[in-house]
Amino acid sequence: MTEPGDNGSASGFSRRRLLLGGAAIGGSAALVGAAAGAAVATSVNQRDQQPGDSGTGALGESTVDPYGPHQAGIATPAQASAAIASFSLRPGSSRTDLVKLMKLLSDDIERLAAGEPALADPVPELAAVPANLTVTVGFGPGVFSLDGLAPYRPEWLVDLPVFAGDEIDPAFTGGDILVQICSDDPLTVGHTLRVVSNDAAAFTTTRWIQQGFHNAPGALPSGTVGRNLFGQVDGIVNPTPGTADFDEVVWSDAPAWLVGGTGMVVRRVEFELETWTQLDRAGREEIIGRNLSDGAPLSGGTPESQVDLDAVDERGLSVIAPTAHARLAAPTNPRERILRRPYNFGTGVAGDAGQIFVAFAADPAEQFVGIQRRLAESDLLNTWVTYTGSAIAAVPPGFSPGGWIGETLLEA
Amino acid sequence: MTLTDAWVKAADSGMTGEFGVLTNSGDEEVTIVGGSSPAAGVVELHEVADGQMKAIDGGFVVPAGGTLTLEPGGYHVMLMQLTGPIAPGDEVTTTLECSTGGSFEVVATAKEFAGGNEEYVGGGMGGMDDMNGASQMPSMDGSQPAG
Repeated sequence: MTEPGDNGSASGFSRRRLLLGGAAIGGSAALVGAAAGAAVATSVNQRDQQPGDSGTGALGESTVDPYGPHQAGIATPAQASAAIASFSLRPGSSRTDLVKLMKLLSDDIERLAAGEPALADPVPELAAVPANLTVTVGFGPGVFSLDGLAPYRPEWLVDLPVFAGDEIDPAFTGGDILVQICSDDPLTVGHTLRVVSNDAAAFTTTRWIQQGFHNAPGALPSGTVGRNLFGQVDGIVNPTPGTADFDEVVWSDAPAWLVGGTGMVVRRVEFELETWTQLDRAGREEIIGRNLSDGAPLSGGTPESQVDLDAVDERGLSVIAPTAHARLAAPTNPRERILRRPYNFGTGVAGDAGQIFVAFAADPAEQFVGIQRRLAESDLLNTWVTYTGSAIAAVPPGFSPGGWIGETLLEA
Repeated sequence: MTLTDAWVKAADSGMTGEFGVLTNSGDEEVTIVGGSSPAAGVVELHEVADGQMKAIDGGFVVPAGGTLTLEPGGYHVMLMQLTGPIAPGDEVTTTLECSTGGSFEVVATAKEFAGGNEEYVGGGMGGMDDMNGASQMPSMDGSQPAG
């Protein structure tokens, strides 16, 4: 991914240097003039300080603790860049094989999260910039067909139903082991994915990999909810980490091995950007039930305000339309809430655009499936979005130094 | 003496290398002079010099209070005449012997490690080492004994 600031430096000079030199930005004549006059040793690929960037590399060195009662990458504020990889266990795999794989991956995670190379790291130099790296591992339904594990499968851990309108592509669907890799540095995501894939190769085949992105770190003020490729402020309605409410929504309390873990749902949603943009602004806002400027509900208030589903206009009509996304996604019972942690994907052109919708919930059957069913049946947004991929996993609880992810299940 | 961050390159048969960081927490210099492992018929201590892998004269010298890194392309413990396949995730036990007469046990995790092994077997790797960076150059091939 390229950010506008990087384009600025791709001329061979940082914006800052140009500004200090008094040269205009954007004119090629000015750039040539600056180049001739400055004659400093700054190549196109030398990362120079950008306006608004501390320039210290502090973000690159920043780490997220991989240890604790819960895996990292769930309550962690969404990093800028992500890859989700799905692996299928090789036919004939045993529980012992899975133990070996989980020990290898846990060791990789400990080291890479600290900015240290993995053992046998193919490119140790690329491990030095963790940039808040997290790696989150989940078990798909297939894991529970391994010897003796069937009784431990959470009841909800079955392939998601095919919802009305779904055009599920097997190339983006399912998997026995789901690995979510997130970092504020896309190069680090790539390196981590390579290490994970290397270690998974002896035990699995890669089923699919999907990459995602948000705004660059520091591009938005802290606490800002990002936009998706439709321009909608996306992911406003979320529980707040560190609250009892969050714990109740996200962390599973059964079966015993999954206490402190969670359920993970991945949905690949393709966006029809061109036809969406042809709609008038009022239409686009009504389809969602929120305004485009800051995401506030059409029923009033701030982006964080509750959507008032009962609000009516002066003619007595619902302000939030019966088919509005915000209405249909709103919980119909107190349990029907989830943690949304989506990423954008695609080039943005030629039909290649959308969202990797990632959600965490203690019990996805109880908390997610009903929402998705309502959206599938009535959401007017479905004219512009198509669900093409689907996966579900049980994410084991976190681990401690000397331990490993999945221990509570596989040593059970 | 300890070998931390210990790992072994997974191999189906033949020979393979063991790596990690030798740490001498004592106040006397220690030389690792040999080793043994249930996973291998023969254990040798190797170095890579001028692109050629060979048994090291004397052994691995670890200074008092210091470390010595064993890594692909450099010093390594060579497990030869493997008694069976070493698969990724396996734990391989090796006993390393010290010049002081003592020994210590190392448990190393087997890892998939891909590299330009074929080129090494083809011989004449000095030039490639220079080009690609010696530290990244694998020094051996588990499946094809390099002779």
